[in-house]
Amino acid sequence: MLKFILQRVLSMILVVLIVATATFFMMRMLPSGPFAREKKLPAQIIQNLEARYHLDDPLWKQYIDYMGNLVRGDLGPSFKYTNRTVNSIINDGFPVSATLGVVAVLLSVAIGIPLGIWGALKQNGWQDNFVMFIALLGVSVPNFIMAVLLMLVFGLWLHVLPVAGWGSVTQVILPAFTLAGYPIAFIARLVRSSMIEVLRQEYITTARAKGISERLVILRHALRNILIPVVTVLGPLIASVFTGSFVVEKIFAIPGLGRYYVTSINDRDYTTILGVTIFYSALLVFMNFLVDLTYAWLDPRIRYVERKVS
Amino acid sequence: MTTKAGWEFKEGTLPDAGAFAPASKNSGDLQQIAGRPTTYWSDAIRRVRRNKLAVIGFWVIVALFVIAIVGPMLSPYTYAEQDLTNTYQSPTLRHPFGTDQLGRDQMTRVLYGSRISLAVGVVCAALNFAIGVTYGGIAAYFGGRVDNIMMRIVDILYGIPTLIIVILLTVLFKDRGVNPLVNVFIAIGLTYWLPMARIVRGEILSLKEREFALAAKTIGAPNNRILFKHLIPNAMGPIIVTVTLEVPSAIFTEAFLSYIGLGVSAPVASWGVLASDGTEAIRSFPYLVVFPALAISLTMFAFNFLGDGLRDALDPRLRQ
Amino acid sequence: MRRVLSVVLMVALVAASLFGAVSCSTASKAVVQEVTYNLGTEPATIDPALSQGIPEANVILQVFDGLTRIDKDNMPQPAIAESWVISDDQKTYTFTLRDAVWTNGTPVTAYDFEYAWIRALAPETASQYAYQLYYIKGGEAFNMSVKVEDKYYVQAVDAQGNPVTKKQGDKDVPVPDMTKEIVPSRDVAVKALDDKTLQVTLESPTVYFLNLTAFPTLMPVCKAVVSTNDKWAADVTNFVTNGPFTLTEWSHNDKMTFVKNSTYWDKDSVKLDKITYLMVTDESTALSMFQNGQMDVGSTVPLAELPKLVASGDAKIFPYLGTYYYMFNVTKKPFDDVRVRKALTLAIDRNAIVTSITQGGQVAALAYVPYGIADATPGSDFRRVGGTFYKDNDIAAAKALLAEAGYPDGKGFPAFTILYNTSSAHKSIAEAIQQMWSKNLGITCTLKVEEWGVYLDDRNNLNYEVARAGWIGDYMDPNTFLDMFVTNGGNNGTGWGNKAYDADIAKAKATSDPVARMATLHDAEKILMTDMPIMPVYFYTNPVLITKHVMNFYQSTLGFVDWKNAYME
Repeated sequence: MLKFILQRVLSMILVVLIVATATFFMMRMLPSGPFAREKKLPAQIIQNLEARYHLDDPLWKQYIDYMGNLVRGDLGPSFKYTNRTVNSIINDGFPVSATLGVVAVLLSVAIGIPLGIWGALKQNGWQDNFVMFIALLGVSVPNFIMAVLLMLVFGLWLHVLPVAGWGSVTQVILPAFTLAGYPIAFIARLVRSSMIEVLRQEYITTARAKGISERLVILRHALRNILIPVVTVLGPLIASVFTGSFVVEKIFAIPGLGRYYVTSINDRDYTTILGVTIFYSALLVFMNFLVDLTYAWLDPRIRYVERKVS
Repeated sequence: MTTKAGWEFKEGTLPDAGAFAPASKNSGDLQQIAGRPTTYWSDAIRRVRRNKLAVIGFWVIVALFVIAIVGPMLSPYTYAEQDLTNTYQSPTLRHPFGTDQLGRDQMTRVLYGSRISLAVGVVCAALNFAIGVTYGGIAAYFGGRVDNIMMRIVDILYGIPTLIIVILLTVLFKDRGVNPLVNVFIAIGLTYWLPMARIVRGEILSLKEREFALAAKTIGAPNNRILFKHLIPNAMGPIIVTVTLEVPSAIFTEAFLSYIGLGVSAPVASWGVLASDGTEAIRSFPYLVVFPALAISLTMFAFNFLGDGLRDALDPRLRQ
Repeated sequence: MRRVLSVVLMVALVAASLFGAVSCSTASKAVVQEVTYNLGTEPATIDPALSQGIPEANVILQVFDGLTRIDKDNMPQPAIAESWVISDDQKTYTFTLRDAVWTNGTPVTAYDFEYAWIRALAPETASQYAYQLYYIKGGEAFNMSVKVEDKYYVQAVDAQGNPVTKKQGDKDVPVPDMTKEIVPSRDVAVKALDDKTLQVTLESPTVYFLNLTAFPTLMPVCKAVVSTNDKWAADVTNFVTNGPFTLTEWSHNDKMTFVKNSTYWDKDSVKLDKITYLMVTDESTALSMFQNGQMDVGSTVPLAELPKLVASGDAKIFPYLGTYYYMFNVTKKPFDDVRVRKALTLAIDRNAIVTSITQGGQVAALAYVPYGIADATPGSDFRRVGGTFYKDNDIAAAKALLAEAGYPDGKGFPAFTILYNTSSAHKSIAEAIQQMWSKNLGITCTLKVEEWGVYLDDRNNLNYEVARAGWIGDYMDPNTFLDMFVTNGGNNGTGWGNKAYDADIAKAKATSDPVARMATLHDAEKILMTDMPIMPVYFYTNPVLITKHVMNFYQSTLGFVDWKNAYME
């Protein structure tokens, strides 16, 4: 196991480096640069800007310089937001996105799992159809419509929640529900589906036959098995929700990290593109690593080290 | 439009740990279980037909396709015909879905849009299915180093910003004269099979250690047979849940792609484009978003009902 | 979904209201002199020299005071400069400064202006608006100089007059001409004669120079602070300013807070105690917050809601110095034929576009330079003097021209593409124009949308046939619209060139007599509208969400907001 962990950590670092390298060269292939404007800047001013940010160096040198700084944890200055570094952009934005992310993930789990179990227990009953209906609605209404609907209904018409903004507890509710919409639906569907299968297994029948109460059957025997898909879902979910969603942060005017994943590319703000991409992919490989570890813990038969005899 | 959470979070897997595969009636003859494809499929179809919701789903899908083909021809308007003196008309008998910001008949636009959105939904779901299931299955089945390398490649593709890839594709496809829908298929096929691969891989990791798989191996069944005839059919549950949930994601992804410049160009509009354009006018003219959104939901429900029926029918453990 | 949501939300709300956390900020409208404004985006910087556009300007103009300040009639009025004398050749301006102080208590001097302008021009500052200082003698040369260690040199040129570069590693570096050193204090003609006197000499007479002294890039900075701390504008702590308000809080992507500056020289005319800037990018969200009482003024209005909001008085339409136009790539057939360009220009119904699509009080453009720029004689308007150059929706004439060009009823007209960038407004306009050309002329074309950077790249490389474009003026003079179309001009973008036009623009630059100068510019516009490398569509407007409690709100035709004289009622 130790060998496996060591191998994985090394390959994770490699993954992040490859992502950084690929993104570095791909983004430089994008048409236009950070100083392209509808009102074109005079050539001399562009040259001054490129000199200031060392964009007039050969590409390989820029790459080596960037990687050198990256190793030291320095993500460089933002080209768009003069006077700001990419480190400070992440430092400011990540806590906000992560706060919202924690709430959204908790909502997804706390609502998705019970809904799925409920649906499975009443398979094909009205409760099941109700769960299915909610789940499908959550998936077929995209978050940009969901966000606007929630805002209009609860913010503008019912006046029960602030329309948008960040800073108070009540301002978390609407964006968190918008973010959780898809995961709730997805988790509920998966839990229902695997619960139905688990409930048909012999060991459950055996447990029931022994006269163990239904609640205990669910909690002690079935739950552990349906936790595996939930954990698989949660890994990338946490990575992507914690680093923020562009749509949700834009619509609810939340000062998080999510908007930079899109605006930095539109602005061709090279250092910011790389910084947020590296940050996200590092979090993602780490979460996927945790997922694999959790697999092994939940289902001891899963092995990652190659067996000698096969 | 880019819903990072929406696309990237399509993860899920159902390794049925602890569940012994019901080694059907005659467990000495495991090799034969998947060995009769014709019976397997005809059996499956028979079982789907017994599922009322699945049948409804099937006929709704058929109806949607017929409407997509015939509908625009029957309409007295065309999807592009404008009437700048009749913009933003509420639904009436003449315009059952109202008119849009250029006075175009919204119903005709929704009907025409179904051609693009249905094509995108079906083809992309199929692409995700083919690429993702094969890739994830191979990674998990061979395990160890193969798994580590293949899944790290998935991590890398996950990490590179999709927006950059998509913009580069628009540059690459420029002036190539390729059918714009093909560009959409390529863009989605390149980047959106990743969640499916992870799901299948998680599932197979658990399944391949079960007795029935080990038994098949022991009696010398070839690898591809074990993977495709024994393991993947057992993972059909989560695969079908994922595929059906990817239909609406693909429809909305197409809308995002068309904003960047990949896909059909205006004035043709898919459901996704109509819905997101309509959202901008949602306060005063909600009908502009309601009808395309309803169309997407209806498609979604139909595919899911059929999907659930198929799942029950294809799951070897549920066969009697 | 919503049913479950509402149940959960109700529970959450009951809990929240128990703790008294529900906030509805609609109460107390009792003439508190505070205003909340939606800036719409995070400003890229608060350093005047580095300003990139309108969001930055709308911050900088509240906290800095330049030599002049633009009044509600768009005319420059004395600010830090108490008075000025202009030499007879209209090239030398001598400003006398009033007593004013920085927020750190030190006096604002002419040396601060000299330092600020030299700093904005220095190549290593890489100011994007440095060209607004090119009017100053020696300014452009200094901005284009090559820095070697601590000294600046003119870039060497070869016999043909081409700049010389050399390979250094893999990189082309400009070669300095070591015999031609530029000493900014000597060669750039901005000079502090004493604490209170600033003398500026221009390259050529520039009638709008006083307007420019109110432009963000030309704001003074406190030399003692800025020269010793290059992070002075990184946050609010070291941000020393001299304007009507001071910036007390900057929460990135969220909000900015300004309070009245009690040391401002003209503090008695400042009535607002506090301004809060929000950075809500989504137009629909901004409208919801406005309707909910969370903001008083908003810089964006959703297109579909505009007519209703104007009717109810919640939105006001301000003039905006800009033109929305389509450009033809004159290097490609059939757009090299002026008759084709004219036919296409005549065959669209601009009135239908502004009344049915844009709906923001825009004016159909029957010429290129928009309304709102003063002509030579006081009180006159350049556009009204110049008149219009063609009729809107003149289909008969368009058909005749097209037939003359060899495409009767559009027969044989090659397929082409209209290029635009991602935006639903651009899309609607392109769709309408596509249909107008098809109906009126029998010409078919396809539409193509591109991501912003890709679109700019294609446009700049003449990799298009017809493309949308827009231009917002930088200063209140026709030149800001006209000089871009000189042959090979950086912003020309059409491949068009005309010697007579170039000569007019050059002549206007060197002419100091306003009447002769304006006549030359009118002539230039006439050449442009005869050759038609561009097809004007409409003149922009600038709609703003605004409650009726806000008085004296000023937004210039360049889009700059000034809160100095505003108050709440």
